[in-house]
Amino acid sequence: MATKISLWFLAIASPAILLALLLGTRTSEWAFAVLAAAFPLALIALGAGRGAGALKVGLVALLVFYEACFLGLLTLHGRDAPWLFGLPLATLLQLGIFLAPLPAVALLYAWTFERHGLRRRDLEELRARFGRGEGGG
Amino acid sequence: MTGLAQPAVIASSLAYLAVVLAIGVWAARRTHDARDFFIAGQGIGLVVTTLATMSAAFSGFLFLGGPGLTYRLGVSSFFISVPVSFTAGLLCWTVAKRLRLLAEVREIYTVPDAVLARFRSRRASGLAAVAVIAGTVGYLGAQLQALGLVLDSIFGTGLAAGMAVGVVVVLAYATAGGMVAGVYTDVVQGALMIAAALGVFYYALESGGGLGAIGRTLAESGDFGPGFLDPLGAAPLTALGFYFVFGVGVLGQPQMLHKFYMLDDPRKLKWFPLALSSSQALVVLLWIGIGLAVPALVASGRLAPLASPDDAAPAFLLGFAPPLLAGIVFAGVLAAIMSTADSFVNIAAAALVHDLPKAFGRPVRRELARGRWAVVGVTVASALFAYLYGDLIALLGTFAYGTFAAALAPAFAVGLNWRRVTPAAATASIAVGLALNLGLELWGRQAWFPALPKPPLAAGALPSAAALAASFTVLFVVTWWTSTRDDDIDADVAAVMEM
Repeated sequence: MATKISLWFLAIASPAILLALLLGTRTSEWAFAVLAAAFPLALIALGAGRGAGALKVGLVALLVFYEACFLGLLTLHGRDAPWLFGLPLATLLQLGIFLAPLPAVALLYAWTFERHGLRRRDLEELRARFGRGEGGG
Repeated sequence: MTGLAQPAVIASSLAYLAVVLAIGVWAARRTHDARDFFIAGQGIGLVVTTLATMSAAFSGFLFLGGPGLTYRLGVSSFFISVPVSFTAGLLCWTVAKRLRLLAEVREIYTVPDAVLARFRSRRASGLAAVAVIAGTVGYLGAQLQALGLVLDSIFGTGLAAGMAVGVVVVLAYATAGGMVAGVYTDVVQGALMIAAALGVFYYALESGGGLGAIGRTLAESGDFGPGFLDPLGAAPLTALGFYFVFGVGVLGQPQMLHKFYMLDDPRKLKWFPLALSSSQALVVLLWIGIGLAVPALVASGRLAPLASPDDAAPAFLLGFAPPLLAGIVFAGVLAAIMSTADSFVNIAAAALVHDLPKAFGRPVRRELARGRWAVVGVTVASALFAYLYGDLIALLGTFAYGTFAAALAPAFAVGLNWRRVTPAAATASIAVGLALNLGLELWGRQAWFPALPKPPLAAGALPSAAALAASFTVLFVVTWWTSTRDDDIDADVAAVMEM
């Protein structure tokens, strides 16, 4: 299910992003931001394959975080926004996008590692069945 | 001021170069065959793989080009680095595991090898090799330009002479040691840069009077103004384009994908995202620190306006960092450039003597010897291209990164995870991504035909972002248009894709 949703999203988002880059209207900027924020997460769900179910909550939380941050940046763009900790709010938001998801993404990967494919028994089975060079290539 | 006025800068830089050359000599003795030369004998552990991947990703582009781009565009340029919060995880979930497992079942050295294994299409693999060579010429060119700038900053050689010396050093190093030299230089360089970045970040903030003072100075400056601190800058499509290209495009970077073949045990990937993203985030502090401090120093009149934005990092290090730290950073930057250059020349050499002949059905004998000659050709071509390109290091780097991204990311990211993707779709996607990125970039920059209109992209839109989106679009359209056969994928590759 997650794979199907990811593929549909990627298939629709790709031409939509291309269109946004050709048109360059204010709406295009918002569309590009919303789609670009979700694009990597859709690829993660696609890559996780059978382990995507375990990632559901984490990926949704990341999606909400990225979308909120990018929409916040677009809202604050060009405005005289308040300053916090010596920087404009928008700049702090950008630093937040840089730092906040880092431990979440890395620990989510480690936590779900066994479920999304590299179980020891799978690896041993693959080596036993195919070994190097037997597939042609 | 050049580094010649500061003996500590010279001493640390020369000491580092001696270490690098020693590693090159040692590595040459450990390089016995093509497997050693191209994938370091597939015998390196997590820490070495992490530092090697980090070093391959962060190079002269980040250390010199990054602050230069910030000086020109403001903090919107940080969107190049913002994706490091997820790119390591994205790499592992989407491609790393499958690439490493492909190397369990096949004799795979290169990115086009993986394309051939997955799609059984010599055309797709050959096009991937062409994309690798095209991107390498740009990326290696950016490294050589950065190397020329560092040598000019330290020794006052001038950019052209600095680049010429750089070509000779890179050639001596890369032809001798191959990937073994690159990987072990990365370990020294990666560790050095993490420590140095923290030091530079501290001195950068201190020189500007702290983050708050830097922010106020920039906002009140007539030259920079509040727009400098707006993350979406003057052109939101540029900032968002950086995020898209550097976030998603990481899946097509051969200098990073290649490292996964070298890992001795695929199960060590478990902690790879944490190790890689943490080390990358620490090193990015150098860019953020210098990128904010230098414009603030210029705005407050403590530093003369820069002749070229790319001078930002050298100007800060020579004028505002302690000489020992400056020497370590210059040495580390030299190391970063050397290791990245080494990775690229070997990847391009493999594309020339291994992948392209294989795509034409005429494999080359004595790949190792021919590979060393290919290194010479690629390095010289890259230096010439960079010199003629004549723009900021970061813009040349973005173009090269975008070439890999647009040509290779869709075929890998989707193709390794969805069996329905056909060889025709992969071939079309690689061809369109490569042609569009090169075409739009050259079209946008050409001055021979003044009457020719600009490419039909919105203001600020990056050609690489458009090429990447188009490449994904073509992959899906052609996949749905063409039919798959049961025997399109070999059993061992299918097993890898099922895992």
